[in-house]
Amino acid sequence: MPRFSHYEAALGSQLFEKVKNCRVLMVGAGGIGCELLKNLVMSGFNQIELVDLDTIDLSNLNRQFLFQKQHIKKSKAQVARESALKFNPNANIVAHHANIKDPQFSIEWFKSFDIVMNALDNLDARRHVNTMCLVANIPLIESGSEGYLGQVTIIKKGETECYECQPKPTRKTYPVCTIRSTPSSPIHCIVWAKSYLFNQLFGIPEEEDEELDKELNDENADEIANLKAETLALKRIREAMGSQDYPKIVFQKIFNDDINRLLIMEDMWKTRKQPVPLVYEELEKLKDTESQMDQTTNSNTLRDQRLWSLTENFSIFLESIKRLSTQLLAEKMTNPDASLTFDKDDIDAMDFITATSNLRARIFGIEEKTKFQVKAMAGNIIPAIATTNAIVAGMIVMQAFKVLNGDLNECKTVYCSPDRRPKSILSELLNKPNPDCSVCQSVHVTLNVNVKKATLRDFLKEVIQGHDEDEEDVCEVSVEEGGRIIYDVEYDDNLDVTFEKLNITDGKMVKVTPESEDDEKYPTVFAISHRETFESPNTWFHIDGDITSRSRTQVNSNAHKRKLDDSEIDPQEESSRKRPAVIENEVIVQDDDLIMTEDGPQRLIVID
Amino acid sequence: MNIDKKTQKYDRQLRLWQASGQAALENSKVCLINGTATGCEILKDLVLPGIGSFTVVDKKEVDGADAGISFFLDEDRIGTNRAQAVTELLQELNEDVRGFYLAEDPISLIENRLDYFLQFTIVIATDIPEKPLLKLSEALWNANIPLFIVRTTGFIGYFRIVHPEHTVVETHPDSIMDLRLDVPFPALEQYAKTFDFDSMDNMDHGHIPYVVILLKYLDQWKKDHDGKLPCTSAEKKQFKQIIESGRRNVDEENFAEALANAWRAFTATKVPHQVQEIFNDPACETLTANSSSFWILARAIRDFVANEGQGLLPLAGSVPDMKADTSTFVSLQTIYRQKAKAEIAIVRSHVNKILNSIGRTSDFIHDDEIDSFCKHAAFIQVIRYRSLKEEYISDPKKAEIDRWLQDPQDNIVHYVLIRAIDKFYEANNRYPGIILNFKL
Repeated sequence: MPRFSHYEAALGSQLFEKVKNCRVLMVGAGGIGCELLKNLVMSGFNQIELVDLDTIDLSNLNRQFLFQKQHIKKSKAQVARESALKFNPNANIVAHHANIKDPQFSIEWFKSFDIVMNALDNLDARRHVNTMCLVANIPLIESGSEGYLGQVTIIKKGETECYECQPKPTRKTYPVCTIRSTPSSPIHCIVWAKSYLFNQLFGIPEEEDEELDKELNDENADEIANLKAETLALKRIREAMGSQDYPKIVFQKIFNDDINRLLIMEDMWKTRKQPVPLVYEELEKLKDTESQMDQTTNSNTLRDQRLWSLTENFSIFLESIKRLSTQLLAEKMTNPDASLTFDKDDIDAMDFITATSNLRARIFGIEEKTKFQVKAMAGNIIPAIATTNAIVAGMIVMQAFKVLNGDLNECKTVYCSPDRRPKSILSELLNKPNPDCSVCQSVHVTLNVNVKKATLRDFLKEVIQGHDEDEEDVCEVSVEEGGRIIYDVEYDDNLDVTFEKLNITDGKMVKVTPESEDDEKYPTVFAISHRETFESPNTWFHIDGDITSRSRTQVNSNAHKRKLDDSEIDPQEESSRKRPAVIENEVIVQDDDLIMTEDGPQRLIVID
Repeated sequence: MNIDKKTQKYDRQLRLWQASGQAALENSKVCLINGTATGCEILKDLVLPGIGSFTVVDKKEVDGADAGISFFLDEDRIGTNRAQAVTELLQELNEDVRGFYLAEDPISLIENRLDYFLQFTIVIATDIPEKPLLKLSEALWNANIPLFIVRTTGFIGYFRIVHPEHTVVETHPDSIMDLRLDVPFPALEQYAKTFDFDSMDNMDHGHIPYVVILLKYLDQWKKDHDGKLPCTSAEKKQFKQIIESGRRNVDEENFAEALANAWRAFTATKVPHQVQEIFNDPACETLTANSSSFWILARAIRDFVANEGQGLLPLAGSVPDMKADTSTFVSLQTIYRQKAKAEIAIVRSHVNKILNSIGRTSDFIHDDEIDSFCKHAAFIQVIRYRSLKEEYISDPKKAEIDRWLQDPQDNIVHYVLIRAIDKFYEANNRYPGIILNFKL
């Protein structure tokens, strides 16, 4: 009996044909991704591309069933593909071990799919795919799970809410002085160990830790200057990495010298308890006496789930520094610029964070935590099980059937939530787009530009203001790229810099927001497409699309006219224009992934 | 696998059900009747998180359609025994789990060797007709083993649990906050009195734990209001203003915490309704030699509440994180812990008395069990199901079903259809809707 006879019977031959012929993009091959890929190949989907930048970790194996122990450290996308092919050798699966934000995954590439399914674990990538699908006008099925909670919804340009129509919670930040000088709770010590010390010793020290709020004010100015000096000193110490004494030198610096320095600031301790520096030699002595007294401390209890003693923290601190240094130095042999990034599932890193934050807590008289607890606090750990992911992946496919059948109006947002017993699966109608959403309501056009020649000034004059004369009036817009401010009314440093030098290259998105009061608030987003030559020798620009329709931002009428007069239409564009589902060029985009770089835990708009 | 590696592998689920949940999982023996696609999906979700063992009972051979719908069957397996095939493939998912299979017909096993199923912790039955299902369910019911009945057809799925009673102690509530602010016990009251707010320097004042702040102001309030708690919203507002006025500067986070937690001081500590219902249950009233430890403990707690507890459950004993210096925090923690410990000891004596009266020795219930029960006493749950016999034969609730059927949106229609399919199968020995070369 043919393999899919049951399915054909259940779906009907018409839908089954659509399923067979549709091109699916799956973003993420993790918890939901593994389940989803299984469902797709088992329900007759034949053309699947999947993208995941991650590699397999031990802590994935409790749910990501396409992976086994021998696959640890291998590409999730590749292994998922291989495992799935074993079960349906006829499926055509293309795996990309890459970041979905890479320029190779262009708008045109997104347009080659009929449906996109997100199985992601972070806000940043979700935002990106949301944007790309809006631009490409491809239906997106968005999903997430956290513990027993799961959610699936559909995003379709102009018809439903997009991922950003509702605000997302932002990540908590801490004032830098609290973290560096006056911690008062365990989380302060953990953030210090993870975001500050780990990066200083093993990561890229210049990288700003986004958990720290570095806003200067009169009160903290002196202390921030001190902290800068302290950081510099630590950087010098880093040069001793690998030497026998390195752990001791670091210990001496951070748990003794820096604390003594803080104690000099008497004002700081008028209303706070004074910290007590740790002395290396004393701890060493204590360790020796303890080890003589007792050789078998708690060997039967889970080391991760009980509190470590002072000397345990001390020893583990020294050991983990040694191990992390060895690891980093080994990596530097092949790549001199190598650095370590914090990974909550890396045993050495978690040992280091736990011991370091506990030693600091001891100094400041703050409660200490077990490694298990520290991991949850440092790592934003999202609980995850196979069951919820399986339910979510099933719901994704059910919604995909409706989308493919052209029944978008029958699609629902579906939740699974055991808290709402007796009904643990609930659905609600899809919402209409939020008219104030700055993402799906902005105007999107493609800007062909010679990035090597064109400067920001050229752009503002020719494209935004629309005149070539050397008038020195201020252009009342702000220009952003990937969260960076390139230009605004008070910041014109970049005017004579080329696009290329500004790192605004092929595939990037530039958002222009009108700042003057009488303008409509919707921004215009330009998808940058590099082009060397233009019909007119006097310009570096050519716009595809209509930027006047929604926005009153002034547009260069010449540039626009050129478009209308243009008889040469890109053949690829012409062919895609024939696809009924795609309305060319009238698109929506914004790229504002600036704050969130990690997956914060959020109720129901989640993860994995 | 060593113990740390194991914690790491199961980290994401341990956050959900803790070590005790994991231990329960690891001690379980699961039986799957018929290695169907749905059955395999279920086992996959149990094998991955690490059950102790599973056994698949199935005599059928793998056919092409099996390979089409079950992810665990590839085409090379066509013609081999389905129980063996799925067991081998499921086993690959987790090396910590032991997989077994029995290549026998489950229906004849139910007919001839019903005892076979009594060795398992749970039994999952897929694709079993009503008659043998009834027989199996009765045996499992009497042995207190939960049975899961699972049915899928096309887009419709059905499952039901058959189990006389499921009791849960660790219900994993969001937080177990049991501070007794409204009814402080003597040691707590004494401790709060040792804080003289006015004579403290700014540093100490900024480190008074919020529990003490609330106790202090609530004590004063009660003195001024005939021993009553703030009750109306105006009174609650006023109480918060009093706290606010005691704050020396806005930087005092402990006062901010006190204000944020002030509502806890207005909330009367009492036995929750669903726990009271458990106390009133006949199973709690009349204990026998067959009573489970849950009911013995529930009764011991009930006796405690009626006597030493003076109407209150045993103290949970944990204290949340709060702004305080370490030594103050530790003393506060110790006060709650010691009180909890003392109450656990009293509950232990009730437990022993009960065990003695039903002819059991005191080691029937371990101290750990009592600790956990006391800690979760406010959150315990009992779930009861109907027997299959009641549903199919003695009390099918026809009137209700008829009423539900009036609503065309109601899922009950699927229930009726699934039952009808079973009846059809019983009469014709084939499923309805089968066309010549299309065999389900």
